[in-house]
Amino acid sequence: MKEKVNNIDFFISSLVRKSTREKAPAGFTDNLMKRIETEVEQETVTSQPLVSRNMWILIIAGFAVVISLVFFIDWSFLGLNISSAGFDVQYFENLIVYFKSTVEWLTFFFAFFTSSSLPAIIAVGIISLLIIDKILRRFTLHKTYLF
Amino acid sequence: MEFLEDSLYIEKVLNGDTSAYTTLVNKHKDMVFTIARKIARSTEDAEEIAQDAFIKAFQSLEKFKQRSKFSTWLYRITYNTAVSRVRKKNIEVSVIDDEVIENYPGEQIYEFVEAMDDQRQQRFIDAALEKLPPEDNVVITLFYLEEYSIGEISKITALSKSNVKVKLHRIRKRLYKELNHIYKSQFNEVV
Repeated sequence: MKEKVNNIDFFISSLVRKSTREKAPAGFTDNLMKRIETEVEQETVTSQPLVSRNMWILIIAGFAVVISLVFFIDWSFLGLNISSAGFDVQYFENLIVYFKSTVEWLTFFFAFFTSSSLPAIIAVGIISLLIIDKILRRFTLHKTYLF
Repeated sequence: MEFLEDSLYIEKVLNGDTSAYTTLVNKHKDMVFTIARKIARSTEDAEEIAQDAFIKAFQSLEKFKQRSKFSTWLYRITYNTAVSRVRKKNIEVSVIDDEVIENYPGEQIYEFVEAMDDQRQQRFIDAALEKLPPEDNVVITLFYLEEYSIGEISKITALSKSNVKVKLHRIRKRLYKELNHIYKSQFNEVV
């Protein structure tokens, strides 16, 4: 019995060694390397944000400095009254008026819709996102960054 | 083509030389494709699986600690990719049929095979291997064709060493049975 099993083992092993080893199709390496290169390129592009972390820190710090200079420092020693100059009440009133008129115009515009204006608003939102996406892709694929 | 140690190419790839990966691909693509083909049983699926496996390996190359051979690690990725792809398609894999184990047909088959030329022998064994469950086909191919150790096969297939041993024993018997079956019934039609 043991001899029989050994015979089978030897028979199988010698025969399996003669079996076909599959060959990868022609162009396999080229196609694969193209995919890998695209992947590497995308990785390089996407790993670089449009506004770097340092730039954000700089922007926030700059904004904080400007706010501090305007609101928290007394400039009267220079004969200036910047703090109160910053708050032109009329300017803010005008802003509110513009905002109200915009809302009224939109209300008037959407009044022509027989059904809900929600789908239109969603459509406008999606189109805007697509446009922004296009612009951002244009910048990223050409490796041109805003900052 | 002469290939240097895989670790040299891996180091180059990790240092940013993506083209060095081409050498690793050329060196291992046939076996990766063989594993994928044996499990998927379709050339188109096998090509996709093989490409995905190489891409996964490329993406995870930093995580490869070189505790095993690169090929073992790569074949494991290929094996897992292929098995999960096949399972997604609901194709059944790896069923060991104990019913076939105990019967040893006659020995005329030895003489029959010896009388064949190499090409016919190859077609004969290929036909029998195709009848095995895909995972068994991979195990026996790795063991005999690639001469991988039981330990290495265990790493690739995630089976325990003793499980691999038992599996090999059963696969040999099953294969012998399939060879006999082809020999007795339809070999002249198959080959």
